[in-house]
Amino acid sequence: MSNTLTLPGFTDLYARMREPGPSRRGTLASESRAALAAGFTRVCAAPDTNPATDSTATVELVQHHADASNGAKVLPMAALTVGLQGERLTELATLKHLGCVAASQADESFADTRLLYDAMAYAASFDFPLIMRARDARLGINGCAHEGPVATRLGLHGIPSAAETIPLARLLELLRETGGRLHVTRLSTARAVDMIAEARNAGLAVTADVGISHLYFTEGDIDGFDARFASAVPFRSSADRDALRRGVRDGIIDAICSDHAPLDTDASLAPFPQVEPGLSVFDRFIGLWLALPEYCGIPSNRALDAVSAAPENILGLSPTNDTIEVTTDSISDAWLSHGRNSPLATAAVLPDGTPLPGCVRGYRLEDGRRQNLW
Amino acid sequence: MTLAHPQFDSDGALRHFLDLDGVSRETLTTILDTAEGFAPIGERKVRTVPLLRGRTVANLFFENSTRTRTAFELAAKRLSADVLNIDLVSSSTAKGESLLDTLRVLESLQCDMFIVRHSQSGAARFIAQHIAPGIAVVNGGDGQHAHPTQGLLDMFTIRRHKGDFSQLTVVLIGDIRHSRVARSDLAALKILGAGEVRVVGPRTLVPADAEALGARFVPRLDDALQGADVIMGLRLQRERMNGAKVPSSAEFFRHFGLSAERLSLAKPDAIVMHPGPTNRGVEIAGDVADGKQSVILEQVTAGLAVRMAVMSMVLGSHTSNRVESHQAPGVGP
Repeated sequence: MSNTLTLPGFTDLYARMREPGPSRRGTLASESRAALAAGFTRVCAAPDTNPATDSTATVELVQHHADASNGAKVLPMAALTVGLQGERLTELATLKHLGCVAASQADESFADTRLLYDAMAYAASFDFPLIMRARDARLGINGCAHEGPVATRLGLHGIPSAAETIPLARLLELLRETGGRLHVTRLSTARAVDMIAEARNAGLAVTADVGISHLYFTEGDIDGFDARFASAVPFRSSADRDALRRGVRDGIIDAICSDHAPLDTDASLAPFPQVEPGLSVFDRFIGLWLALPEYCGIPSNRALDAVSAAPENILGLSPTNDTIEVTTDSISDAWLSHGRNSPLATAAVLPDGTPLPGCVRGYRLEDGRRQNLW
Repeated sequence: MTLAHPQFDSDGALRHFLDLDGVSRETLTTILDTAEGFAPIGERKVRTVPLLRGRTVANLFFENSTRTRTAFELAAKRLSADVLNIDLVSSSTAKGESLLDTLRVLESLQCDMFIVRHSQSGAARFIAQHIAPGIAVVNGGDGQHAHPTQGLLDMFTIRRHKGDFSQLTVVLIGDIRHSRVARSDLAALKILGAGEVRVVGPRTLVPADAEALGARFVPRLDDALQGADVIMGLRLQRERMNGAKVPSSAEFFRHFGLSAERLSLAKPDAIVMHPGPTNRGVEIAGDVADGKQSVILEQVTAGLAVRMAVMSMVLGSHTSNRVESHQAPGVGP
């Protein structure tokens, strides 16, 4: 029996490539290569680079360096506001014309609701998709963990669930007025899943995704101040995680993204509240993806849709001709991302000891490039 | 895959003292018994014992403290240790040197024990995970997480007055949410099997899931005090009383301040505790703080014996283990 699957190349709706920015965290070359090992042949690059991807010059730099890399195709996302400061709109139409697939405020909050209204309306006039995280930074101020029993016990400032649901409600109500294409990225709460379902039933054109790690981990994993689970989108209760799994299974959550956030080692060498949050996901993504049916109760056809057709539709891309070859009987020892900040870095096993199955053995891109990764 | 708690060695003995997670009732009782043994030393003319002669204890205070630092210093001196006070609030850490770089320098001073006070929850554990083998870490308070020696000295004081914990009703009043003292007290009370533990305060200062701390939330102070054996006030930080979490200190006192009248709702022999420094007229009325039911100053004295017990036990366990490597998992090169 063959243990190799040939699948369409995956499309990632949210990953940080870290370029421009400090190269010890990642470069377009290193992270686009790591993306291939995850099965992604197309990756939306988050605009929270340094400087932010908010100008034609930066977008061109990203494209230029990505083209020179031997990795997944990089689809830049434009910063929605200059410097992601939430004060002035960027030249969205120009950035779209240049090749940006969407605009995003990244992990930054949006304090000015009037400006958000205008941003959504302006993007709608150019049919430019918005990929927005629902986050009220003020409500989760100083927060570094889900506001729940674990944070209470550890004495950590919590991020309440309402810090996601309130800004989500705001986005949905604005969408009702502005129209346009809104994609809400990286949900973390059960209530948000319900809100997306309700909005869609009411006829709103909204889509959503979840980071794959959030289908596995919960607040309990940070116990003992385990900084490997420090995440900008906090891991919440097991009830939240179960609702996210059901949301993907039922298609309320359309897509699964990596939420890849490579960091250098120094970023995590501090007491938990001072650790820079983020998980380097690419190198373990395919293992987590392969485990979705058995571990998370998500049927394999839905799991495949959530990383291929669904993100393609959200971005308005035509289906890819890229293919990847996945083997389910071995895993790779290589680690391609510059960031080793992953709870799965030292061993490819889940917290309960379940080994992750499989790896990407090779790929064939529609431009003709074909290569075995190992 | 889950990180092991760095405070225990492979035999389960305390090699650091960071918090009360995983500490058994037996271990906790042993510490209290050891402290009882040390307590009479303070009454003697010669107040030192030679247990830690030749050992060096460094107070690493990344956050301001007078009381805790002084208590640790005196306790170490009574054990005949050499004591070094290192004020890190205004030193290189403030200039941007990383915590680990600071630690590497301090390790080179060849100390046996670091007493650590830090503003971030989890800092003591982080330091213990990264410190060179042979140096013990005692948590002198980390953020809002734990202040385990304070928790123990509170238990020591309660035990002296009340004995059996299983029959006790204990009430903690005020700022539970931001209090490392409350967390360590609640953890210790749980380990010792306290009969009933209540927390009371406005919802801005009491976590919604108080039961995660092993306590029952009671909204009104008068109800919480009914039948109480032990009443513990907590310090309300000044920055939280001016409209941030509480509209004013006067309003707080009206609703959650421990007055003599309210105290009469508790059992007649109830004891009144406070980790200090007290805000008179905010958490507690002056006459209650000075009254005959108050054991606030006894707590301070108990802190010496308890810290002597902790330091001697931890360094005692270290003697046999100091050559063992204990690189924390997940912290490889």
